[in-house]
Amino acid sequence: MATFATCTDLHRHPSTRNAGLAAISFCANDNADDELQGVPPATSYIFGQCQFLKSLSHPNLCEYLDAIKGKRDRVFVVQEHYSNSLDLNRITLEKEQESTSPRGQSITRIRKWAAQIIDALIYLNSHGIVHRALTISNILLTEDDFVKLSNYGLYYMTKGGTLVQFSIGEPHYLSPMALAQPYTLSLQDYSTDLWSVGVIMTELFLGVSFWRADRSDLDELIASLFALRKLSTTSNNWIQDCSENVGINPIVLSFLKTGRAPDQDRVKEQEREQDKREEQIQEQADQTSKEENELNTFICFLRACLSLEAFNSIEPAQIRNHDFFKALDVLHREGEQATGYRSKMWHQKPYIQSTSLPDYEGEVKRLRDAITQRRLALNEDKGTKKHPTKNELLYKLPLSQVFYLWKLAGGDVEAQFRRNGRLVGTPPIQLLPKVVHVAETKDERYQHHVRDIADLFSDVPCILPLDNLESEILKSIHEPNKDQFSWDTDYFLFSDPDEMNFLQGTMGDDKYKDRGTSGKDDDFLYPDSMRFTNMNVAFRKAPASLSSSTPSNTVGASASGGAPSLAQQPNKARVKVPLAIREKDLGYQYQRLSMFTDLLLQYPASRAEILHHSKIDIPPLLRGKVWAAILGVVGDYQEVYNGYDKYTEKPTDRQIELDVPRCHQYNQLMFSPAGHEKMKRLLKCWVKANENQAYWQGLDSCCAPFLTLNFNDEALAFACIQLFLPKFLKDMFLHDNSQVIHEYLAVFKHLLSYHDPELSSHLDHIRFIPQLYAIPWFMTLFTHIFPLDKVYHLWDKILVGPSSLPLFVGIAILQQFRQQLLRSEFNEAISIFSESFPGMDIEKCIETALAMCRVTPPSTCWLSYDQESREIREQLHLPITISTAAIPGKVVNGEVGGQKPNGKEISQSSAGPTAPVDHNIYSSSKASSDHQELKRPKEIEKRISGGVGVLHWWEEPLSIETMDAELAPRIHRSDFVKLRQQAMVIDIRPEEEFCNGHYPLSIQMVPGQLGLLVHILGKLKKNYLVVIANRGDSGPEFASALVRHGFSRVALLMGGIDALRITEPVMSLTSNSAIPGNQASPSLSTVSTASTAVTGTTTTTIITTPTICSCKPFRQAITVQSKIKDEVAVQKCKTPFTQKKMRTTMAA
Amino acid sequence: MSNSRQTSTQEPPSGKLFQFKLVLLGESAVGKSSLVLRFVKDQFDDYRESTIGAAFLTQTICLDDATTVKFEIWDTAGQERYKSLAPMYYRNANCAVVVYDITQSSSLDKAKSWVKELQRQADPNIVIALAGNKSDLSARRVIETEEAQAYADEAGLLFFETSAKTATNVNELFTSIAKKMPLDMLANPRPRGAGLNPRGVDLNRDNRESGCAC
Ligand SMILES: Nc1nc2c(ncn2[C@@H]2O[C@H](COP(=O)(O)OP(=O)(O)OP(=O)(O)O)[C@@H](O)[C@H]2O)c(=O)[nH]1
Ligand SMILES: [Mg+2]
Repeated sequence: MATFATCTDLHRHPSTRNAGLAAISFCANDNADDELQGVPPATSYIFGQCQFLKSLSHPNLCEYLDAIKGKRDRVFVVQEHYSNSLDLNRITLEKEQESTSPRGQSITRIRKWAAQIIDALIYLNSHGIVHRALTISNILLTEDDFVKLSNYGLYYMTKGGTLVQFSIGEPHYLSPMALAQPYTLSLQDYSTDLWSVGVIMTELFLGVSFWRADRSDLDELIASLFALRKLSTTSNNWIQDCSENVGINPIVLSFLKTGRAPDQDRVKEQEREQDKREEQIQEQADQTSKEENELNTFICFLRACLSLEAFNSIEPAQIRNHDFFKALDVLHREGEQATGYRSKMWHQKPYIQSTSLPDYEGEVKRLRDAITQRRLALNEDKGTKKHPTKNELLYKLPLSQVFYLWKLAGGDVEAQFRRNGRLVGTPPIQLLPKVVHVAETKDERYQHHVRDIADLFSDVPCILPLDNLESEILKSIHEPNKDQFSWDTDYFLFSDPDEMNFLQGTMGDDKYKDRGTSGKDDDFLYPDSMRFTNMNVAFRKAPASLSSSTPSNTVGASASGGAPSLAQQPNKARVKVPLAIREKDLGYQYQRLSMFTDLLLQYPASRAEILHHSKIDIPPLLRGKVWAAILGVVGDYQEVYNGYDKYTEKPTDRQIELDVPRCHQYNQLMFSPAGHEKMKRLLKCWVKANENQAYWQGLDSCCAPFLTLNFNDEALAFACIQLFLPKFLKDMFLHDNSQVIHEYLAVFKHLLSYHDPELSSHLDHIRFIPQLYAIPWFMTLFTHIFPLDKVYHLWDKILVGPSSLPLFVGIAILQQFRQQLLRSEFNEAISIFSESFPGMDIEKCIETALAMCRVTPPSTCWLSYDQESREIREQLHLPITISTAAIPGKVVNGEVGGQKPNGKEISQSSAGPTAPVDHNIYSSSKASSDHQELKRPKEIEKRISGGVGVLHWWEEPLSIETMDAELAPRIHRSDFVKLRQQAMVIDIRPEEEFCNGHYPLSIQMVPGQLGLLVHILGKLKKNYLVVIANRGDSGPEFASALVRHGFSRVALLMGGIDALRITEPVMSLTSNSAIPGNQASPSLSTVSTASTAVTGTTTTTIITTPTICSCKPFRQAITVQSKIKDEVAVQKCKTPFTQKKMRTTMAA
Repeated sequence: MSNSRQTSTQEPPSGKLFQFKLVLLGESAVGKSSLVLRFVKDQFDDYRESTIGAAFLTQTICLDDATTVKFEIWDTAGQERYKSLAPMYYRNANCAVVVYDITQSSSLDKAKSWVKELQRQADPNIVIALAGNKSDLSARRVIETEEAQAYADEAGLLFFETSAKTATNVNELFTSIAKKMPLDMLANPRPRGAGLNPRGVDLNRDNRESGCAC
């Protein structure tokens, strides 16, 4: 099932092909006084409600695209727009016929319109919305004569008009029952829209005004409405009892009463014309009776719409079954099919894809045919039409994206209003009477010429011009000197060739292996043909111009071909153009949007590609879904969310109530009442779903990014949170998290020492410990200290990075204040952190963090306090009969160590690293393994099947006190062997022991000599320093001393020499190694592994040094491999490096 | 650990600078952060973020020409869950402001329990003030002044009803704390900003183990 395949914000409905954009603007109440009492400002309420309107999607509704808060209490609302409307249609009809006598529309056409209007109303009602402002002018028409209601959200967003000073709806079309009625949503409310439908349809048919009074004569209109209202309370059938005094146009009234049109002949004539056009020539007699029938049902329909009696009240959903529409339904359905309008595309997401799957190909074909036809038509039209390719580039893009691009191209709604002379000088609003602005003459309103420039509200929309957008996009794409990305390069992994890269090979590409095995059935939802039709023309050309050298691996290509190798070693310089500029670049964003939209539609099959491209950047408009895809949200998340009780009161409610109104309130979404409601629900749901954890202050901050990005999809936000927290904030919200957080901070301190020893030892010296400043950093992953716009960019990278990345971000933050901190004493230092870093450069921060992360051996950031790895450890201590479900399927490097009480190792045991901080999070689809597969990772399975495993003593977690006391981190042997020649290995055991055996190329040093030797050590210029010591010896102190002397990347080898004494197939560890083409590690262990293999013994003495090279103060370790056993070993290894080393050894 | 590592920020032109560590405690959302913000920056923010862990600020006040007091203020998180962190902040504090909200009856109980904890665990000479915040919301008051005053007298606390929003009694609160500090008893206040307790925060370094197995 493609998770987002039905998301309406990723699709463009075919009927919207020629949609334009327009905005209306109005002033909300200025309720500054109420605000003092804690009532949110009206604009804020409106803004929040608009978000929901944005999620509505129906073929007969103009989509809401944005709400913008202007100055003071002004609000701008952007909507899909069409230049044609029923009203305009009527006027042109009049003009065409060049007569002043009233002319009406045919019943056939009216019926079609009425059906579509009512369909839209039913949809709105089903979402608890009444239109209340339905007029003949906000029923828009597409080129295909398809109805699109506009402005239907005004009543809803203004809380029934209570938040604005103007009344909503035009009295001319307003139901008498809706007058002065308080804001409620009752049955009656739904029926009020039908009145408007009735009035409009009557007018359309008769071609005259419903009321005797002029449309702008409000006094008389309102008097008439009240009269009607009064009449309806006393009469059972107001139409019959209505006198001409009430103010209804006599022609209309007699028509409604008698069922006879005043000018029957004209109607007949017209009907006949219509029928001729439709080439349905029938006999005259039949014709007449049919017409009469038709007219009768039509009048019945009108009377039903216009009924005012409460007992008679009827809702749109009911009236849709009226006889009047019977004739239509057959026709209508056919029409739908022909044009590809299918309601299923407009289902609320998500629904089970399989229900629509069988039809899909048919639809694709229809869609494609429609497109080709349109293209052909366009080609024919060339030359005659002004814009032959108008919107060719845009018409596939969802309107939200079109609007987004319009803004990127410099569009500004408020400025557009000014340009049209609509927003000049607002006089004191309160002074204006509470009336709707109505243009004086009809013509005026269609010229968009409004004299009242200070209007509270005008329903004349301000058109946002899209004419040049396409050419601007093209211009921007083809601009020379654009930063070029190689499309299959993983920029994330880009590193200095001379440096280690621990991220290489551990991220991203593994996913492709998964893909082969995971169920194909749900992966390839789209047939290949669809993938290509889905591709945008311009986009498919684009990679060639963007890609520097490599063959372009576009989405479509990769999908139809085999698995592409996306995660290649970057072969080009890093991305040069700053993110801020890329995000503003029209052409670039167009391409990114098209590509990500395409990828998202194919998610989860496209997850690897999404991950890959996300490492460069994420288009802001699609961030919510892209994040969800990265996190691996799958399945029916709505169902999951619905399944949790969010309403029962709980003890934590109080804290949530207190925190939500303080959470990121500068953000308009978070500030709006709708935002508060959603946030509370989300948090309550989290509490319910994670009963082993607790709501900690700060969790609200963590959830805020997901809510703001998926404001209309709480369920998706929730699904993201449920995947995000375990990955990056594991156990942070346990009832008692003190161990977790302490350990996390200790690791943070170690990593700081590893990369910035000077800063680390200074901070340690002034006792500026992480507990004092970094708790809000890590508990909220920086959401508490940065504003959301920065958090988005930060998380863009954190999400695609290893879960240790936040630690490095913390270091990067410290480093941005490095100079200041180095000069500071405690008080100044901590004062720096009491502000929220206004000047922080997030992009630089991320880059620094990634650079550090890449060169850091993962074992230095292992957390021992990991519930899961602990469980696994415990499991491994047992004689192994583990049920498949017992081991969560996400541990990448399982661990089994072998150790007998006497310290000698069992040869067949293998020690893999414990990997609680998981550098390899994407090697398997986390989501699926967590929630669906629950498969034991092959890695563990293999080891367990090998025998009973126990941890080595040094693999046991350290106590927090120990970690706190130490300045330098510890490194596991599996990483140690990867460092190879890059590391300087310092052995601080006593000389005799050193002579008895040591690691090749290690130097021996007495801890006390350090002060003397710092200088020399510094000259050796190795990237890494590893200290080897005996258990219980002063290794930690020595390592800390090195840090204080300013040596970076100092680590202590876990287990010291003991760790090197064991024999186990390190090969299996290093096969996954960061070094490409790694065949054999020159480490001692490899040699001994081989030897074990050959000799078949269970124990091996690994190091023997019969000859000691005594070049003090350093002892260059020279390993002379002893006797036959090792000879064999070396031969078996057959790596050039080892042999070379052997030769030098022999020579020595 | 030595006093030589003292901060040497603004030195008053003349007279003595005393430096004190002050901690704010109290239930969540009673207005601790707001009080500090009012005192330090003379601002009020309706939508200030909740505190996670703790936040640190400093403010200096002049008692008279000869005496300047610098407060190092630790504003703590109010949620009960963060309680385990509190000792880190109140350890070695010279003074504490325990805040409750006059519109929340539970908050006074919480305040009382903080006072108890401080009297048991913190520096025995600690000066404690009780602040009944949000006095501007008198319409919603549920805790009477007399009740709190009686308790404060009984427990030997300074007492003020404050409003961070209107600034009522905020400066008074901090000034009277400063005045109550036993300045005279400090034999020789260091000319370069030292206080009773020099260190901002004392972490029990003594807990250090001399490294473990490597
Ligand atoms: N009316 C009024 N509101 C106040 C006053 N002081 C604080 N508030 C409001 O009370 C809420 C909580 O204030 P904070 O200062 O964040 O409370 P806190 O004690 O720091 O809360 P935690 O950080 O959760 O422990 C905020 O919305 C403030 O605007 C006051 O004196 N009067
Ligand atoms: Mg606070």
